[in-house]
Amino acid sequence: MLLRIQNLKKYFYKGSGLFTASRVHVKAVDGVSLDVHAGQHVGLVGESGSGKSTLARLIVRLYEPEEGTVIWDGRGGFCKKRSHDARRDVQMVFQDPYSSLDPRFTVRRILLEALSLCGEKISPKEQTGRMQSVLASVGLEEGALGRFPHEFSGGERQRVAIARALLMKPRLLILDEAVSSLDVLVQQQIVELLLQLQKDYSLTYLFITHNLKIVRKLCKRIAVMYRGKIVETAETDELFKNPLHPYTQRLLAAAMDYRVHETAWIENFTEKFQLIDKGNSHFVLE
Amino acid sequence: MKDYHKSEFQIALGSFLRNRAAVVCLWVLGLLYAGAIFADFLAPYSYQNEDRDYSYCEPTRVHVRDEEGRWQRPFVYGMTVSFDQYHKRVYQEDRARKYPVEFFVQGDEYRPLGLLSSKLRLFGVAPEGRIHVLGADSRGRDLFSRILYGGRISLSIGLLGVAISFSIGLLVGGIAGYYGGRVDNILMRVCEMFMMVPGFYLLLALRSVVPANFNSMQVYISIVVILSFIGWAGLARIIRGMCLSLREREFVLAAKSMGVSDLGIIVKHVLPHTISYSIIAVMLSIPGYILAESALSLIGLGIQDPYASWGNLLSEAMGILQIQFAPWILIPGLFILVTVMCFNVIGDCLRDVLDPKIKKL
Repeated sequence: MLLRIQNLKKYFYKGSGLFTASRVHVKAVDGVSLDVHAGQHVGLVGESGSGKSTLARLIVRLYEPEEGTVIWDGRGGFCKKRSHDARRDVQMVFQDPYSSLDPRFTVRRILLEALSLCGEKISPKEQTGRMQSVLASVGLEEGALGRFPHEFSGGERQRVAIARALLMKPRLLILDEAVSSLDVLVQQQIVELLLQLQKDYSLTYLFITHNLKIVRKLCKRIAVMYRGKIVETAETDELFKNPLHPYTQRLLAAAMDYRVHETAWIENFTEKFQLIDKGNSHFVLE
Repeated sequence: MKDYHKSEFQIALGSFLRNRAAVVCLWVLGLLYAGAIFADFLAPYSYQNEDRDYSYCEPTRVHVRDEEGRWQRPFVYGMTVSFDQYHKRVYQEDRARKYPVEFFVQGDEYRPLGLLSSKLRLFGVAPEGRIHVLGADSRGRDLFSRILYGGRISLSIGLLGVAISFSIGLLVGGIAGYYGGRVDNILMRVCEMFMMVPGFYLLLALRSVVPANFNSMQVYISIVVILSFIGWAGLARIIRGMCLSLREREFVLAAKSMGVSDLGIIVKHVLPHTISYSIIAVMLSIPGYILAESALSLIGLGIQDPYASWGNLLSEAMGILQIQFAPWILIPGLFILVTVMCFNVIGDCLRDVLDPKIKKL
């Protein structure tokens, strides 16, 4: 078992002033449990605002959970200290390649920062060697080291971001909508790169997306998230053949371009879960 | 195409240098600072060299032709003083005494960096005569020399004050903005306490706390500290606002998820993105420090005689009689004006260059 998430909760609050009591605004992640086994890629799908990214950020400890535990490799949740191995073992690639790289840093500095966090003392020459080899493995040329992020295309930037994550020698790579902002052709290239890297680096992916086609190609298991909860987990083939939850059915239908009786579905659903629309894309379960 | 490999900063520098007004101002400031740094060499007299026979002596005229109209190397005449019926001093050139202006002469002693001892000065006249390019003050001290020496204090106080207050402001703003929540709340309330009191009164109140028996160096340092104590709050608030939005940017999250320490993120990833604003704010706030020091010295609470600062020099020009009969003692004000204007022009240009989103109103 690489990663076990138990009953994880994260709420966002509203109005946390000096004198005003804060109250729950959004239950972004509301009691999620999920297991990830080594070598078994998991796809996490769901609509915008369903809590996928929040879950990813909870796993890498960008947020502190309200409740619940993240057990890494059977060793309990990892602490915030950077020296901790587990922190390195889980790396994340973000959605927007245009802003996930510091625009003021050259690629060399971006990669050096990751290298310096590895905890090993290595000579400058070896550093360059490692950076070049990791760049080569993501399919970028050597000259990329001296360039700034704005000199790259979106796909190339995402490759740099992946290279940065790879330098930390992670075992689990969380790809938070990592290909969503790229065009279809580049998406495909990145997915192929990911498949290749998986062999070279023995990685496990937690692939967060709303693109079912890619998940189908890449992941063995799929978890469907809806309004802060995981509503369905299944093997990929099983899920595509026989979706159980109404939301999954709808998601698949939309992806496969089937017609569904929209109004009937919504009514049915609202009745079932007593959802209250609070505007925007956020819903609150009450 | 050539811009492609340049960093943001290099591009900005390029367009800054294309702005002629800003470059001129940069040169003027460079001259002023050079004048202050090399005051010992450039000034014909030390700041406390006085000759009471030359009290309020008008600017010395440098002649190149003698009374018979023959061309000569530049020289000045000695001055004789007499009093008119209102007991006003009237200076007249004494044609019998001629003192050629000499270069690289031995003048008052000074110790650059407190180590060497030197007497070499750029220009001067024989000790029996005096040359006052910009006139003399009430005690017959050379105004030009005192302006150069005063520049040391007036020009450095802005830089030092800004350096201290911006370090505090950046750090406090960075911490408040990055952590948010309660930390932010407390730090911002502290800032507001400083901003609540009108600056000049706070300045006076803090100045009154400084012991009266401080020597001039201690007074100088305490003024710098006081000035920077007042200035940091406004910057901290703005930096905090910028950091609040920056901390949600993905490259900050990426660094955080990799395990970069909080301080490392603030210093390496968050604050550098506020730099374009900070540089502008620095440039536009230096004049405030210079003016505040001048105001303090003008009312006699700043640098004390015999040490010179531009505000201190101006304090002589508080009486209508002095201005009427010795208008040249207003010249230090001109230096303040030029300096403040230069900083403002450069700051404005930097804003255009670094922050294209803010358009001039």
